[in-house]
Amino acid sequence: MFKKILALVVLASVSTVAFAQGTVSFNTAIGTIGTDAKVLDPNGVAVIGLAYMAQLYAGPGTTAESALVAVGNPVGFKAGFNAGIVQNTGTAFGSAVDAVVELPAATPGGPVTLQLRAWDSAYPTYAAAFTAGAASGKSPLLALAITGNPILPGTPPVDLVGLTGFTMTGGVVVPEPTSIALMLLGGAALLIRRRK
Amino acid sequence: MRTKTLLLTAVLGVASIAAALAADPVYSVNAVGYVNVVLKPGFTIVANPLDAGDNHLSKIFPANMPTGTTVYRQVNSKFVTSNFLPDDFGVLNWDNDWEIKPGEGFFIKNPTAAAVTVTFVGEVMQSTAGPLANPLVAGFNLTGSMVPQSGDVQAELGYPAENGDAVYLLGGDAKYKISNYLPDDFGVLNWDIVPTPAVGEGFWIKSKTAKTWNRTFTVNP
Repeated sequence: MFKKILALVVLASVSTVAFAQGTVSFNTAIGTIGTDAKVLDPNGVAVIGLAYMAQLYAGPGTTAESALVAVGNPVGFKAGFNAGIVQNTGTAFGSAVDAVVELPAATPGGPVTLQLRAWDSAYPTYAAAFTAGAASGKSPLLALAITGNPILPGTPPVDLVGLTGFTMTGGVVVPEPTSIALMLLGGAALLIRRRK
Repeated sequence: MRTKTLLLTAVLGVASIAAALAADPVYSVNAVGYVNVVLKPGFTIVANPLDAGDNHLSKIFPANMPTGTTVYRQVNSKFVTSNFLPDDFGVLNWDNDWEIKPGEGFFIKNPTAAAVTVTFVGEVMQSTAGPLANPLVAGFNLTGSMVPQSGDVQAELGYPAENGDAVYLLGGDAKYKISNYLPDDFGVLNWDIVPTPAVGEGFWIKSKTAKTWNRTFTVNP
């Protein structure tokens, strides 16, 4: 009996090591990753505040996009100079923002595939927003050769160097003032032609 | 007569010296002291806060450290270890008795289930002969303040922050807290979380460029 318990304890320890998580720093600002990975709404405007959610999706090694899973908590966006940049402090959607994101199923320090997704925060998940045709979008896949190793004395979380921004699609696209003016002019021209 | 003159001269001389000392106090240039640092069970990042003269592990740590204590030092982006274990004669010793000067950060693993307090004893480093220089490479540096002072890394400890730098403090929950030095929402460079390490606490600095963290610090006026 004792041997069985000992074997279970050993197996549990081995499993813990095998499934330890790598870490990344969830920060999309130019100063950190070399180029701003800004998220724009369907009108091409950098998003701010909590109208939209952003979350990282990840998978170990080279993972297909369809197999990526959500990691960390969804966050909102910064404002002003940093519009379109994900929030990395404070609180969002009822949770404290943790800029250190753990990557399930990734070996500590090992390679990982990542993607940034954003969507209309009226929907709880990216999939729900996408299915409903609401505003949503995703970055190209980002492959990182190494991640932070949380097994101490480990290495700090790795930056998302190479991540690029994107413009969301779907939802109600508000025409720009110039488009509205052109439409009005077109309508007026049609009316004039009919009268003649 | 001659004896009286000599005596009077001597008394006047002593009085003059005493008056001079009273009017212009003399300070000791050196400041020595001690700093207690708590090593919780598991890992802590430490930076030697005082110059012990001889800064080898066997001198800066007491002889009653727990058996199995390990120091992890970063050399060329890799960790090297020194263990406090019985040597061939059964005497507890560091198997790599490195010299670790103030300003270098290192991990230390307390193998016991209880917190251990270590006392660093030595001289406060001062910039009497020029700034205290702590060279940093571009990328990650395991480092710490060269003087026993806590506070804002930039405003109080004099770290020359630049756009994109970050400080990683290891919390009590064994998770890192990241402070980024980036433009804020108004475009002004600021820390998103002001990093404030404690005295003797080591931390990671991710520096955008190779540079020297120069510190001007004196104890006496």
